[in-house]
Amino acid sequence: MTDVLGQIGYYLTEFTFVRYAMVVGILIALCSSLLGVTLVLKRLSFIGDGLSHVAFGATAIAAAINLSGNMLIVLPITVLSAVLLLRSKQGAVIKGDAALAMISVSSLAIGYLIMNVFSKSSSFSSNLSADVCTTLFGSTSILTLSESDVIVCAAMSVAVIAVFLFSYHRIFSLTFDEDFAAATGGRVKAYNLLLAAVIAVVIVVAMNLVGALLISALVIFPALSAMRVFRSFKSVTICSVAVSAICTTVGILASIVVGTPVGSTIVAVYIVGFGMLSAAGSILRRS
Amino acid sequence: MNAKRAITLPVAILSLIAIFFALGCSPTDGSVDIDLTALSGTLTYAKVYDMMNNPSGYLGKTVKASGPYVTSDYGGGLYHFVLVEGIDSCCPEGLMFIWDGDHPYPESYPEEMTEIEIVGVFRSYGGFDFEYYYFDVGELSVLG
Repeated sequence: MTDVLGQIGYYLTEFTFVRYAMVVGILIALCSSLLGVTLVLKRLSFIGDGLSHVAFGATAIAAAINLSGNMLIVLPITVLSAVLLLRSKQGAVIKGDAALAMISVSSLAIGYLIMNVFSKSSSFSSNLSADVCTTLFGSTSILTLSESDVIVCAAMSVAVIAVFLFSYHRIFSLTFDEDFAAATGGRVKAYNLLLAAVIAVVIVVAMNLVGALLISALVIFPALSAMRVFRSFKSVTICSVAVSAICTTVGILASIVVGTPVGSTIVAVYIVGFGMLSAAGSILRRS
Repeated sequence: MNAKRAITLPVAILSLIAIFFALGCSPTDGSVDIDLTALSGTLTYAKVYDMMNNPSGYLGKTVKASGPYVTSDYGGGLYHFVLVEGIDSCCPEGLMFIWDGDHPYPESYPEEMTEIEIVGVFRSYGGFDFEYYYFDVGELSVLG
């Protein structure tokens, strides 16, 4: 045990990219857990999955046209998709869940198609499988961030946290009763647009941590874990943030010590955390 | 939350962090600056990625690495590599090396895909159209 602790201490002090990974990983976990409570309660758990597939497709397009900063394409496309999906209401030609499924699979398929067709482009490495693997599952992407990546991710995460903190009461009312919020003069459309943009930002940033296919775990597991124990919106949110930060930290450290893919290790730790909190919740309810 | 818990929890967390750093031990034997053989697959991939993308902090450092030995023809020359396995089994990275001293090929070199261990200094080479990085190897041993 002391050897492992010593190893971790050494990695944190000597390897800059490990420190970058921890800082960005925890910030991403905080953002996604804050939003996760709202998304789970509004029954939009899978929107993270759909938007991450859109982001994957956009990343492929950016790489195919040799765009050095792919955020210029990925972020606007993902934000636009989030706005369109969240605006899908009654009377729409294609209903919400079907629209989400359609956009999701289309983006994934087109993204992979573009990567294969343009695989000889200089933006793709010679190992396409590795590129796809890393983008979809976040095997090592959080450990290969440059200083500018860290600054951008950190800035976006801080902005998301600030939006949530300043709009906490509006988000609370939108989560539980949108019609009441509109009837009492709340600017529901504007806040829904803001929420869509924030979700898109979180998804794009979170792809660095767990990859496109596992992003839903970051959104769903902390909220659901917290709901096993707590009942109020505030308590669930605070517990969700704590669970997310702890599980992400443990996941990143475990993956670098044991040598497993970072994204799936973090999700595995979330599953264990969910199990532990479910058990704790059962015990507390019985007593 | 009462005052005792409010103090105990942060103290416990800070103590744990202090233990991490106090026990921090270098997984190298002192003669090697970076021992890739002591790192996990995940960390090895990330470390080699960092070396190739931010080489300035690593040039001149002694590195130990192990993996299968492979060669590659390029521009009329034969180049020697040790493959460093990452994770997923899909992302091995080839580290080019030049073995110091009189070591004629193929007599002195093992067969391809033989597991070897190298200890060498990380250097840069501008002989191609781009900057390339390699290891100036003093020791090469075949692993059992």
